[in-house]
Amino acid sequence: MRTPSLRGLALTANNGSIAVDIQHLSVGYSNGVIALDDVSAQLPSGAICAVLGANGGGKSTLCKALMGIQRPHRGSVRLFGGAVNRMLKRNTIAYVPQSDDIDWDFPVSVQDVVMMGRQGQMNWLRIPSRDDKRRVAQSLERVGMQAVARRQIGELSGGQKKRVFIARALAQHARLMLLDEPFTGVDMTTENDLLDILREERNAGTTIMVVTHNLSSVPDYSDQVMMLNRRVIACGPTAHTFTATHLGNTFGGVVNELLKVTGAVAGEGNVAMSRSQLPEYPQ
Amino acid sequence: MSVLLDPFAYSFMVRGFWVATLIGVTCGLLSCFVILKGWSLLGDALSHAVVPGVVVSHLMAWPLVVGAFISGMLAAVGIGGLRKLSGLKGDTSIGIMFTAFFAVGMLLISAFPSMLSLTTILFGNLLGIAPHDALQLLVISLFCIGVIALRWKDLLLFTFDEQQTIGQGLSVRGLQLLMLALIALVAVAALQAVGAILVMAMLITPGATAFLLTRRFPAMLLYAALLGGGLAFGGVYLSYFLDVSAGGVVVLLQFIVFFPILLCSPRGMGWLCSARGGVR
Repeated sequence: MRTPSLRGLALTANNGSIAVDIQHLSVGYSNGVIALDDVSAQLPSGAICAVLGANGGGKSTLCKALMGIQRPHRGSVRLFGGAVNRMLKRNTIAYVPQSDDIDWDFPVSVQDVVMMGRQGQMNWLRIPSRDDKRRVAQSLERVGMQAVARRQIGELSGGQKKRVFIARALAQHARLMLLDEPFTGVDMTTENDLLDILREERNAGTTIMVVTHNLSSVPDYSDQVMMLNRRVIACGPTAHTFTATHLGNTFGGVVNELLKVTGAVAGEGNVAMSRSQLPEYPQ
Repeated sequence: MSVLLDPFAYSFMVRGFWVATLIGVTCGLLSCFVILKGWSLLGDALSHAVVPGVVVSHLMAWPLVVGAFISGMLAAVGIGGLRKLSGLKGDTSIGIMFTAFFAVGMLLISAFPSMLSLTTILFGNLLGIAPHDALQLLVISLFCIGVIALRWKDLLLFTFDEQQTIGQGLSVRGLQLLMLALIALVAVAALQAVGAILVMAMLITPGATAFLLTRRFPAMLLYAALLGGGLAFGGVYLSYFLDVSAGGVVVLLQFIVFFPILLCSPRGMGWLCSARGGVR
């Protein structure tokens, strides 16, 4: 029986070009905290890559660097061969924010939010074209949200809230989709629907980065993993990289303890972990 | 009956009416963005930070708006820079910068006492606005209304989600500057009407009331403009009969309208009025 991750690996191998190229990236903040230290990694295009790390491991900083918000002290990030700021102007990144980052009282409807995924590609007055409206309708349908399209975003359930922003990213139709903790506070149905959509998008050629500290189902959906703990602990195909040793180095003692409790093989570094062995990483 | 039309018999009152209404509408529109962005304090800061610019403009015989705009933008840049350099919280940086600017303004006023009275700056003089100043306010207001009419969707995106703004290839810094510039311009206009102390109310209350009334942004803009304009008009009208400061009445009216809406709105304390009870 072929596991999902092996299928993903085969797809990755067919697609040679580099989507995200990070070279010796170091980022520090004015309070002296060094968030990323000499990070180098390459992510292939047309793959789902899980970026794993504990809180404070540099995940958010990496997102900021990818979006050009955080200027690197050293090193560089290139997206599909171009500099970040140049590529952002060319509809390169569709960003799906954490639910906590959104003001849910904001007076916009589901449809308004999804239409924001088209805004950069509209005319100067930002009047939606027929194509924009069609893409918004299609995206809403794919996430199963047509029925609530006119609701104010605060009137949605936790799972629906996630779906709105997935729909916005789908409507944007960018080359790289960047999701920040997409599975937090989401029920199983939504998680499975979401993973199906991500796989469809991947198969259509979109590069997908899932930034998360939640280890469950990582081997199910990801083709690549990148583990961060200020430095890159490991980066590569999930089948070879998602190992107990690497997880231990990424998350520190917590995971090692949990692995012992759950009876998993904490010491053997060469065995990729299956889903049943995985502990829930405490938030 | 004719008593009720009395205020319209004086040219200074008529001028006061349309100037106040126009400023009310402009402030109302902008207040929607200000309150949703959480920039209330920044709006207040800019309305005080324009004061030294107003005084310098008076001294140099420039149009008021030029100096005011420059000092407002300097303060905005100063606030951003201070925050970045010091790592202090945003409201601390705002507090340090705008009080410093306002203090410079007060110093200048006291050093050149004949030029401009402190009372006018602090409390405005809606009914004493000279015709050429009124023309200036007309230009400022129409410009701001025009910019909002053309760019409201980008400003809305910037207000709602900065990361998405970047993802759409738009300039967050550009939109931030645009919004600061609009606030500084409107602050100068409103300063002449209601004075530096009450500009804040003009830039917040109409938007806050409109927020309670609707869950759709275009409707919020409309309500805020109607409230801002209508209550400014009403305030000037009432002030004639009450024989009190027009600016004070305008702002008090805004609060008087805000409060019952807060009690009845589904967003506010609607459960008090709703038969079903409970907030959704």
